[in-house]
Amino acid sequence: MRTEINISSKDAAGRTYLTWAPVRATIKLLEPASADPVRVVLSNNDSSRGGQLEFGTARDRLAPTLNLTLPANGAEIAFFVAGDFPKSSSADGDAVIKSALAGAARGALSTTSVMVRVRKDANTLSPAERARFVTALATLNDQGAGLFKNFRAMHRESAALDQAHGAPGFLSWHRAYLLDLERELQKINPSVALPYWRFDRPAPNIFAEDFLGRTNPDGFGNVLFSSSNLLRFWQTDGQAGISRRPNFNVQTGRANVSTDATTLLTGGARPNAIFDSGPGQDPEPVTSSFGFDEMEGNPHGNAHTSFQGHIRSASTAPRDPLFFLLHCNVDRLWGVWQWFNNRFDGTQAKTYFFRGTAGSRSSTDIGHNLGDTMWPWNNVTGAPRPSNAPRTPFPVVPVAPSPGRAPKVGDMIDYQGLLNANSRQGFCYDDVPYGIAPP
Amino acid sequence: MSESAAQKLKDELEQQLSDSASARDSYVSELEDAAAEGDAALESTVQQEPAMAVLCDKTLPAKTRVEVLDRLAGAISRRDDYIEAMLEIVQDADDDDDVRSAALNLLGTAAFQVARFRPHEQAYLQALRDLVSDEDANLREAAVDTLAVQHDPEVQQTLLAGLQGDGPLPVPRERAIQLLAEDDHLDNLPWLRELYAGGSDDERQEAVRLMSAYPAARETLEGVLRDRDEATQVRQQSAASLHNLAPEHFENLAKEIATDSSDYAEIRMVSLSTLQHLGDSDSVYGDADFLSALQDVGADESAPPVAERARSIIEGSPEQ
Repeated sequence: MRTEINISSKDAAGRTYLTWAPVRATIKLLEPASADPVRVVLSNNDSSRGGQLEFGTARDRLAPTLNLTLPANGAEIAFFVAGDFPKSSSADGDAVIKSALAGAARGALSTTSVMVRVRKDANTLSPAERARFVTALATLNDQGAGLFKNFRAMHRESAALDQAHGAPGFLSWHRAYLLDLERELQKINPSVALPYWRFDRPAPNIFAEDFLGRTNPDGFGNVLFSSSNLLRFWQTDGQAGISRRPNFNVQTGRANVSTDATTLLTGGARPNAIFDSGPGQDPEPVTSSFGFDEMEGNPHGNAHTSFQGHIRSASTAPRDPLFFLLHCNVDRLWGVWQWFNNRFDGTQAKTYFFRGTAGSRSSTDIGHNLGDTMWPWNNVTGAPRPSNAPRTPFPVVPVAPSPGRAPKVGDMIDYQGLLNANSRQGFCYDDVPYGIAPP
Repeated sequence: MSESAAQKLKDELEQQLSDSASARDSYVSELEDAAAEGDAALESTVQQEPAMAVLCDKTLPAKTRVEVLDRLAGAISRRDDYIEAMLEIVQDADDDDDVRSAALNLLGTAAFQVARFRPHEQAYLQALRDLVSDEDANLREAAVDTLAVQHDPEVQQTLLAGLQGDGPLPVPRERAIQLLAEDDHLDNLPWLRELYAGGSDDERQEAVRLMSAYPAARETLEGVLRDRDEATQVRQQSAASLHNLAPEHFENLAKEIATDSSDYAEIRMVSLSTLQHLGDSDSVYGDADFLSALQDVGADESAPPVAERARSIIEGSPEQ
């Protein structure tokens, strides 16, 4: 007698990747010993190491064990499974579901290996996690000849930057941009998740030779890499290497940015926190705040200008791989703000002010209204959109149903599928739970 | 996730936000006091916009004004008057250099909000170009760096003229070469050869990195990679540059170095890593002589990381 578990977040090769968001799964009995139903318990195979999981028959009530009764005729029984916050995986398949007979001291009817794949603080990654990320990124770059050049092209020309910066769609556009890149990295190595740079804390492990490179503070501003780090072959715009000179001590200091707490206060205190105040507002920049999207200035802009070199200017910033870790933290901050203030419903003004489409009443610039599709994935070119579309369509993957081939600004908001399970995008952060903060 | 874990997280965050709100309120109060102590000519501004009053008041301590700038970034691009005030500060050579530097940084931050910043784009560019001849070396270097990375033709002309002895250089000569070479459409190879010939280890490494855009540098790069008297970091960089410039040529040389037990382990590691991850698979695994030599490397424990990497390449063979 054995059981078979099928989880609805498999990749093309049949490997399962989970986040903190519950996904539907089924279990069925095979080769039953009798015609009677069988009581089984689902649990973590080893609760002392690896990613941990939780289970339930309802999406909002999960626990580390689940009792189920399986009919002998092999009919499937549905349940939900998710990563058990904050216990994520560090390697592919290190989270193992054990199905065993209820009351049995030992033995398993089946074991199913999955990965609780989450975006982590880059400063805390293991050497193996660092190496996987760096190797995948360098492979995507392929010394300037790889797909990365299209990501670089998306963030260069003035018309392209208008789609991404200086308006409320800034966070949605970059959430899509990061997810697009992450999905390409996962085609190279599915165990990779984008790490984030907590720029409000010292993060010496990021600025090291085996990760994103070390700049000799007493030297000429060279970015140095270890002999096995493939980022030493990084090439963009036909030029080798990275130009990056920090304005702060990367070993002991932090970037010149506001703290997480100060950032989360922009837009006001809960329950009235707002994303954006809409047109016609004229905030006094020190004593008032008029929306969470002000974070595009501080900490986002300040993190960029904490360096000289490529990352300092919008048109050159993606030439430095640090760009993606910086923006991953910007996106994480939005995720924390959403969780803390319950801002997942795009139809609410406090979640997103410009809820129409470009050209409609009370709309803003094209690409920044909730109902606007986003360039370049929408393949719409010509003024006021840019003249070409370097990446289209958005990559669709079997592990997550959203955001589709031509995502809209509003599609990026409910990224964990809290309000609609079909909005789940297959990524999450190690310190942002699924759901909303308790009242 | 247990409810207690979510509750704990929320409680911690709530406390941090409360502390942050208190700190902000107390700063706003200090700011109003500071503004009131300043120049009476700014009295009308003090009432409504204490931040603007402090920012524009050169009689106040630089530290007080820099702190305002540090706290301004959030909504700055929405306020034309603040952008204009910062442009004035940056271009005012009589103002404090720390305040000017902080204002320049903040303009860089505002420039990231591209669409909102567009009305000020030209004025910002002009301010940066003006700073190239400023008396303050830090401001000069920051401006030259920002402009050079964006391939600004005016700063390129200034750097080129300075290198040719036709004008003053706004930054040290070595930095001028490095920054001019940000644009590989210019003929920078003679300057990079100069930097390589006379520079420190770091400067030679940069010269070698930047040479990778110039096919005529191939022989130089090959010579650097072969030169055992050269610093390790420079040779490692030459491996990357040569691979970018002439991959097939590099692979032949990398095979030679990787299997030469008398060469340095770091250089052999770079060669092996490159062949493993970026090399042409047919060229690597179709070369029987190389694979045979690699077997010996894998068995040679005098350099364990090199041996391990060699074994890893052999294990990755399509035939395995």
